[in-house]
Amino acid sequence: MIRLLALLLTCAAVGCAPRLPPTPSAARAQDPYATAPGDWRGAGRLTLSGFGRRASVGVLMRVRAGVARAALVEDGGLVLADLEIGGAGVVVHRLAADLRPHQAVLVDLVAVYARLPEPERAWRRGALRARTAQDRRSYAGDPLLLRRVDGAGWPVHVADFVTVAGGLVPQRLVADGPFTAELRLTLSEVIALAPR
Amino acid sequence: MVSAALARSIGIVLRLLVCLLLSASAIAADVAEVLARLTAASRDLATLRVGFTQEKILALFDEPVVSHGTIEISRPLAAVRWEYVGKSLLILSGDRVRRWGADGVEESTGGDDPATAALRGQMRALLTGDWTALDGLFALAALPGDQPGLRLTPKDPGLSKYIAAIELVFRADFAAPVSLVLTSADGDATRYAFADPERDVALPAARFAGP
Repeated sequence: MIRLLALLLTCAAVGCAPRLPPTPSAARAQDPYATAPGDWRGAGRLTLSGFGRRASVGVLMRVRAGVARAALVEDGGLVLADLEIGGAGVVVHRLAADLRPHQAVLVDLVAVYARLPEPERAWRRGALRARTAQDRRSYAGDPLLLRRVDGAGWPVHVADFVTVAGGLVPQRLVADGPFTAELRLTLSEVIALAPR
Repeated sequence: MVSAALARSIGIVLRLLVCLLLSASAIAADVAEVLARLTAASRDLATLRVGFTQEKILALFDEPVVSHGTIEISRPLAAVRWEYVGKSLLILSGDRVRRWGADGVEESTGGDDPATAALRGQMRALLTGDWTALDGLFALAALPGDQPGLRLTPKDPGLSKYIAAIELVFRADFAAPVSLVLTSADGDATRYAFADPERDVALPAARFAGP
């Protein structure tokens, strides 16, 4: 019993996650794909559940030239967070004091949308594993899509994509926290932006 | 936990929302005088519905972010319904505050924490006409100029972390607010424009039961 409990706790701590989809041999020749090449903007909700509670806030997202910027906006209009992530790193334009201890969790979610240099890539355990300056990424399936990001926060899984700006954009993200806590980011509206 | 932080943030805004509702029914410019006028204007009010448009300018986007909502108040049912279309729904009914997300699933409002207790207290104030609870949270001042309006500055450190001030302008008949500007502690502004209020509309109990 204690061993089972320990296993469950370990799973929670490391974020035991849905398995990555299998990647057929023929798909290994594909270029790994994370997000659309064009610029776009989106809106949706970030929902947190766990410990018998549930809360949600609005999310506004903009991606230009591979740099992702996202704001968490409470429905009353207060901006709780405004983060920008790109090849140059992370810029925290704003972060509510109560959320500062959880910056890494939010950064990992936004980073999914940023095009970050991946100097290291290697196939391991059926998935293409890549390393960026700030996280590790797993590509798998056919097509060979970004399926998981592991940074300093909770593991983030890409649950679904939507077509926009000449490609696919992650539409639903799920971040698994400890003890079944879960963050879900869903973009309900995604629009291509005209090139500048 | 992130959950606690988010819930706290939501709790703070819930408090703000109730203050807005309070404002819709009874706040003043030259505080004592306008309070009396507002109270008089709302004395015979049974139900009220007012739509609003919320506009926010963010560095993220070139154009303002616009959203819509509706507030409904029923004194006979002792209830308030505040809906942000496509985002969330808040219902204050009796002694209980409930919230639903955009997907219709009920969400947390803070349990028995102080923010929720304060919210319930202010709800009671809305329904009973005892506005002293508002003075505990905000310093009240009249807006300069001719329009009947009020500036609310948070006294509570938990609120002032997020909100610098709220400025409300009321209709000439004091029946409802015309506009509201929420200035955050970071200096950005969210503007609410309220539509003409509908008084004494039929608001069945089901409107205050959920989405």
